[in-house]
Amino acid sequence: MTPLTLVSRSLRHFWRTNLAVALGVGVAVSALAGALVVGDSVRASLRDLALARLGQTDHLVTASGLFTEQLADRLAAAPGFAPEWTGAVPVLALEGVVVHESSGRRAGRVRVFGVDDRFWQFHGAAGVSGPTGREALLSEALASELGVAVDDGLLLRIQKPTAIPAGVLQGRRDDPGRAVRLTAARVLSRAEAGEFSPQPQQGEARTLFVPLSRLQTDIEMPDRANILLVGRNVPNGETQALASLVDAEVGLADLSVRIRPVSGPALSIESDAGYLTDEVARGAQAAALDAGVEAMPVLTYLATAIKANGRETPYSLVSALPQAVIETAAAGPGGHRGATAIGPPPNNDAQAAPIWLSQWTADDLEAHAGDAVTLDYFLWSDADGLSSASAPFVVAGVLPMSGLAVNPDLAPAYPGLSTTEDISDWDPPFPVDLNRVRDKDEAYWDTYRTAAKAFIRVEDGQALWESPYGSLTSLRVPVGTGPAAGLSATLDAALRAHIRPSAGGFRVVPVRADALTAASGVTDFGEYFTYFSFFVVVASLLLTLLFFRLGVEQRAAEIGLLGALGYTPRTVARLLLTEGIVLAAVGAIVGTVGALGYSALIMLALRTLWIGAVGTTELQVHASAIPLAAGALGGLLAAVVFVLGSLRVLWRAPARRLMSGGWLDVESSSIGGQARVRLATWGSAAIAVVLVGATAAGAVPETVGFFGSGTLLLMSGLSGLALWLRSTSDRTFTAGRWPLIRFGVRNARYRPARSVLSTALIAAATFLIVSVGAFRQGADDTDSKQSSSGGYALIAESVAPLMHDPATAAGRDALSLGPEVAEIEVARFRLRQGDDASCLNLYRPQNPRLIGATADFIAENRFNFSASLAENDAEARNPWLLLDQPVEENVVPVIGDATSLAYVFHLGVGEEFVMGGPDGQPLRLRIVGALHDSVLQSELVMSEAHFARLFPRNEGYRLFLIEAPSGQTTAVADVLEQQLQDFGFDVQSTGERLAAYHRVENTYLNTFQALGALGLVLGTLGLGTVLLRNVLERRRELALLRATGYTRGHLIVTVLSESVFLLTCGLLLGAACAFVAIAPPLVERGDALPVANTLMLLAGVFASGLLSTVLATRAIATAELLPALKNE
Amino acid sequence: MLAVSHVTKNYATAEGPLAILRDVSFTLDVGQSAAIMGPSGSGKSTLLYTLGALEPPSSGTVSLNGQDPYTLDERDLAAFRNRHIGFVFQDHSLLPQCSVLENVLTPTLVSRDRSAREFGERARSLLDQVGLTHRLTHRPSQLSGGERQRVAIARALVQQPTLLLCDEPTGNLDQRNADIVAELLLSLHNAQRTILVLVTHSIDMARRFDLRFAIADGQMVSAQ
Repeated sequence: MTPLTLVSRSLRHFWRTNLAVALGVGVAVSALAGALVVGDSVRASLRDLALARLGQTDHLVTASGLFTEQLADRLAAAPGFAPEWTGAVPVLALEGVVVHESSGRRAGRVRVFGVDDRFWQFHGAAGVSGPTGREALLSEALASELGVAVDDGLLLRIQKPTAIPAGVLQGRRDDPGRAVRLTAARVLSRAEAGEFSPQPQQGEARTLFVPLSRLQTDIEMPDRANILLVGRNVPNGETQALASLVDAEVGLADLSVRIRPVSGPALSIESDAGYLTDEVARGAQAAALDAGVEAMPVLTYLATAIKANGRETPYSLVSALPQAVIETAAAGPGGHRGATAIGPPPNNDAQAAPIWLSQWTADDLEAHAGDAVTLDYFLWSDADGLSSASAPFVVAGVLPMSGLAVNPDLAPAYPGLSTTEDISDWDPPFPVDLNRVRDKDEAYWDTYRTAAKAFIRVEDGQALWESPYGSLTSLRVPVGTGPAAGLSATLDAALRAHIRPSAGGFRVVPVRADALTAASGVTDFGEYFTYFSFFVVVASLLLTLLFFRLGVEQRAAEIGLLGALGYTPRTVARLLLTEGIVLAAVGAIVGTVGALGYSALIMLALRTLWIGAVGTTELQVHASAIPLAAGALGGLLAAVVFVLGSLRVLWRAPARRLMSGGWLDVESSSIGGQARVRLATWGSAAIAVVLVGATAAGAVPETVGFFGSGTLLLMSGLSGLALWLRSTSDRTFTAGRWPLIRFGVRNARYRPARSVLSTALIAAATFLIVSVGAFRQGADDTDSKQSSSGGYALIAESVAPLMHDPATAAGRDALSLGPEVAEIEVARFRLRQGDDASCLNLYRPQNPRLIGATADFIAENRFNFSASLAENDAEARNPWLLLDQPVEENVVPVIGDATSLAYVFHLGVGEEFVMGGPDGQPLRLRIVGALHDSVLQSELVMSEAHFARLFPRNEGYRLFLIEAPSGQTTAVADVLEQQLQDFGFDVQSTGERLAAYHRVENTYLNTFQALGALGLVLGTLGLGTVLLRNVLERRRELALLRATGYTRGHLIVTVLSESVFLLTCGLLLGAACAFVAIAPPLVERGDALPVANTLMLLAGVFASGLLSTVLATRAIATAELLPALKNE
Repeated sequence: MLAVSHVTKNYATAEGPLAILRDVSFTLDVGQSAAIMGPSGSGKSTLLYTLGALEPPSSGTVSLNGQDPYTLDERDLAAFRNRHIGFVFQDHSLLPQCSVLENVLTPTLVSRDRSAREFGERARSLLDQVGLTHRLTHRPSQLSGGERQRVAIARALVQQPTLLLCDEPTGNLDQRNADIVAELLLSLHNAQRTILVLVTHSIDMARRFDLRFAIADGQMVSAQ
């Protein structure tokens, strides 16, 4: 016989109680390890999904515009590519709206990929090829959403990329999209690369594959692509190595730069975009110097009129050149140098700038040196649309009709203008009054085509006509005595050396590595479910403690005997502790198995009941050893700590008490114990009051302050209850009404610790359920400008940018919008697509959606801010003004939704998010404000000015917040969708959008409440156990009461009274403290107390608590009490 | 008057009926006291509980003041016990969560008679009579064994029962306390003119009673 033998015998003999203890630990471990397994499983599922959708793609080569398809061939053939990399598959990736022709069903924001056989070979999709002709291949999700069958007709609307930005005067704004008629040829599964997506998103993949050549033809961009898919042959191919290969292979055509031989002879360096970007211009000038020549900057613009002496010359090109070049030309044969005061640029009103007229123009205007000339011209700005402007000049000279004055190559080629036979054939993207065009103008056009009629200094021209895309239309390099071809080749090489591919927005993106990072998840479900399961874990551990204590108390006589036999209290406690450790270990093993079941159940719920939180059915259990072991160890340690805590009384008990069994009452009777409980009662309450005060003073965050206060008050209340239960009272239960009920309540004092423990479980469950319920998001008041919707009833997004404002008459006219939408107010935003930053996306955003807010929107001061970096009164009143802060050290001020910032970005106001910038350099976004529960959760907002500078090619507006007259919201939405369908205009009510966001939050709350309810079940079980145990222990007392005339009904009333009392204490305490905790959100939302909802919740808790009395009352109803009275 | 007539009590066992009481008969008038003696397992306690309307006889009758409690339904039977019978047990069976006064008042909670105020006064009076006035608000855990038993006696008498039944009330007490408790029992019995029946192993204790019954193997073997 050894101590361990004794432990073993005890474990077996008291197997029922021990089983309950082990199961309690098992439940705790199941919940803890299960929560960790859930976290692991979500991460692994997201990783698997992202990788499956990437297929063989490891890296992506992207550009801000379109590059030549041949870049793929050159890259694949480049030395150094094949050993490490594979693929280099050109793809034209666009976003579109797909309409099922027969049903009219519509799917917006569909990922459209122009591909050919190379795509399928790269992904190893056996049996898939093409598509060809007008065939389209669909993902299963898209086919299902549209109800498409093979051979059905589809209409695809896509944005038509343009070489010339829509944001300049010459850009096309009235031809935003293309409609492509297609036939569904096949529905592709994920295994067939049908869900290909370079951007991780857990939602269903709505993907359409169309023939690459078809798409190129339809958008009039032959041989162009915008992404290259690159696979990896070796496990550690480095992004930088691939980027170097891409750098080496990107040609001028890929950057939309060309070298054109022109008269002079000269070479003109131009861009397809009309303007040379500043970086290209700088590179070209450096390249020219390398080639031993100097490049002449040229900016040619269209003046709607050149006016002088009451006469005007309509629609004339004006070239801005270096003054010396113009003066040289003016000094040539037949020219008039003139004596002119050369003033500052024309934006300075102090003095007019010089202008040189061609002889033809001077004759037309009857102008001479020194005459005042006015240039009228159009300007385009995305915000204000088309406007007319004028600038004053003074004639500095006249150029003879030779050389520069007759050179048509100073103007870039503009579609619809430079290639027409006659002026009357012009089709420019701005209004032309052909009535003003005279015969002599047509004759000029016939003779001189695009030759400029006037010349100004280049700096004056840039001051007037500089665009966000550049300030020069070409650079002109004179060809000396050598052959033009030789110089062209030299220049080409030099340009390639000086212009980095990043000038064309070329980036090499490690999409697989990014996907793995993103899949680590914005939402750590392991962490969340550990929080969610925390109450279950605590409840089960408290239950374990309860069972263990009951087991120990059950053995009071045995413990006394051991004392009589010479065991010290410490030895007895050690024996019991050993038993507890063995039981905890058994429970941990059982719990590990239970964890798999628990996690499977949670994952099932996430795929079904709680799908609102994750938006995908793809989540599967991925069990691994680490979370299981961590959970088991955590649960085991917690259980041992609890057991140790429960034995501390025994540990400290004097031997005499051990023998008498009096140690059971040590806690309740000791003065020190009472003092500690009193201290806990008043101390917790005092700290809670201080915390409320500190929170009100702003020293502590509201949520922390009030939740902390609520929790402290809960502790205070429970300690107070313990104090009351242990106190004696002069007032007897007969002195008042319902003495039997009062007697039942008095029975709660039988074992105060048990009563407090079971009340604590109920109170904690109530606290959790009520407080979580109060955070449930409801419908928003969309009328208020400070509401979650900003007062906008609708939110819309278009596939193609709208360059006109639908809220203005001119804009509606340009967009062909009818009078039905005449009364709408619209806030327009520029949009750069990226990762959804809202809680709808489970992946961590690497490249978040960005929108640019106009100055008008900023001035409106809509929405409600929860925090900002406001430094003055104006910014405090309108934190949107913070977006206008200047960009310093590449740090751009942005505003985001507080929920997204907290839970998706894990950033606070004042912190920075770093993403890849347009130039390949890190772009730092500084959070200057956080919106409270807004409809703008999916994006970060910056000012339009900063946006346009950073992303000039994201011209126009694609995101809209729309205020419609009351009662006309639906009609307005229908009209806009219908009349702007060419733009792929998709309208949603802000209420629906907010509901989608709230659904996620509410689902999390549901999850929390459901697991809280599971904890409540355990609490109920605990209360039931306490009551049953009390009844069983007091069988003799109850028998005595029967003997003195109590019926079974009387006894049941007393037990029910005790149960209801403890339940009510728990409910009132939990609910009262919860209301303290949730005061801020209630006050903030201006809500009344959610009385009905709370009462329903409390009724549910109460009903489940009453269930706990069933066992106890049943024991009374069926027990033969008489034997308990007998001594024999 | 307590009248016990040909009472037998059998328990069903696997080996057939086990006779605990065999044809027990006796009567006691108001004011009389009787001690029941006998070895362990002789049926003393079963007889006591049969008298106390807790355990119905297999045959025979028990009546108190002409009322056979076993003809009553469960509700009335409980009320009968509450009104007419008081119990004192060997281990006192006090409620630890209640004060001394509350323990005494416990039977009154389900009483159909009198007011709470009357009960309160009576309980205080009884506690005064058993010498525990200064212990009214104390818990049982704060009392000695003898004091606890005195509380139990007060509780048994608070309803002024006709029949006071005691099951070895001094069995756990030392001699001094046993004497005090016995003295109290008898004096209160005399004062209240109850019918007192007490089970005891103590011959000295039994001698203080008007009648002494010896019981063996379920049969009344002698009565003095």
